Amino acid sequence: MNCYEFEPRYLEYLDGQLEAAQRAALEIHLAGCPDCAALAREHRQLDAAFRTEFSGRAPGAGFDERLWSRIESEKATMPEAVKERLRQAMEADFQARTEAMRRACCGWAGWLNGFGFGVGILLLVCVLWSAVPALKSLPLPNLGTGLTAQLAYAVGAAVVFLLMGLGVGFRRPLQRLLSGV
Amino acid sequence: MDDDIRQLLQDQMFKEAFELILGRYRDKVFRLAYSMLRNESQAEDLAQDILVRIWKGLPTYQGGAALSTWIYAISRNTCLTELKRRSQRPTVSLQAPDMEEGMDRIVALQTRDRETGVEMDVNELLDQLPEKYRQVITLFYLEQKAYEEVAVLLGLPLGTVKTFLFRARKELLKLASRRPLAAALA
Repeated sequence: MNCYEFEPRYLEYLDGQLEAAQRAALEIHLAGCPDCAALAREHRQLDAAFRTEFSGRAPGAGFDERLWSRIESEKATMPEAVKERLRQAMEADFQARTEAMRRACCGWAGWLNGFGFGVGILLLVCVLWSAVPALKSLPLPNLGTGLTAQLAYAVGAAVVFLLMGLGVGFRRPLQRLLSGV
Repeated sequence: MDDDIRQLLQDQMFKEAFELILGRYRDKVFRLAYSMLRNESQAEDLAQDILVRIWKGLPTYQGGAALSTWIYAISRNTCLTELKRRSQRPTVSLQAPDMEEGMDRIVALQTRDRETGVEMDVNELLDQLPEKYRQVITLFYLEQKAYEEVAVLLGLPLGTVKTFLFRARKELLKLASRRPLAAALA
């Protein structure tokens, strides 16, 4: 070890960070170099002065009591805005927990919701179809599917509505799936 | 770490959670404040401000970051706001905090070594350091030389803390001995 390597190593030595081999090399150098020995002495003094200055600093007696009484008085005078913020935070937390619980209880709820929504719309179309006779007598072009034009259009409309229902119902689970949550 | 506090927070038991936080983090928050202000009573007041903020913020703690990270972030922000506020304050004042600071200087530790000519008034020396070195070195001795703790408290990488410490101590020695280190090494 030479003099230029000494100082950074010496600070680590002073902080108890050096490994045994490096420590030994440093001590050998220190024993044979009066300049580094003087520098080491200055570092030790600096270290001792700082240790003495800053050791055992802690809050004074009565710190906790003062803090609690301040909290109590702040509670009493807490502005409405802060109360509202706390209320909103608690409400958001409640919603998040409810959602997590619902997901934990029935992970397929979202998918079932979507499917149910789609089936609901399909039923509504069927009811409308049978309840409004004018729909059956609409002058629709034949699509060449072998079905009557009205039936073909009814099936098409039902499929479109079913997909829309599924889309609406599956939106949230799909978003979750895509975002990897 | 802090699982018990997190559990209490989940159960909305804020007072109980805060009691644990106080026991576990009070001294660290105080020391962080002290490292920035270097005045005990002012650091106590600031530590109280920080802890009140933490208490107010408990219902909003989402648990995303470690509790200690969250607490130290609030502490650092409050300290920095206070430092900024102070820097904007008029410098000439006869108000109590300044008087107190003066008294602190008077009773500051003085070490004199006639043999080497090293003269040390810790606070006077620290005043001559850049703010970032001053904070790191003060906290380093307050935290009893725990490099990692200093890094966590100040939100700095460990390597940066070590670099700052090395430069700060080199600079302090230069200031204390009033002669360049190069001369000492020559």
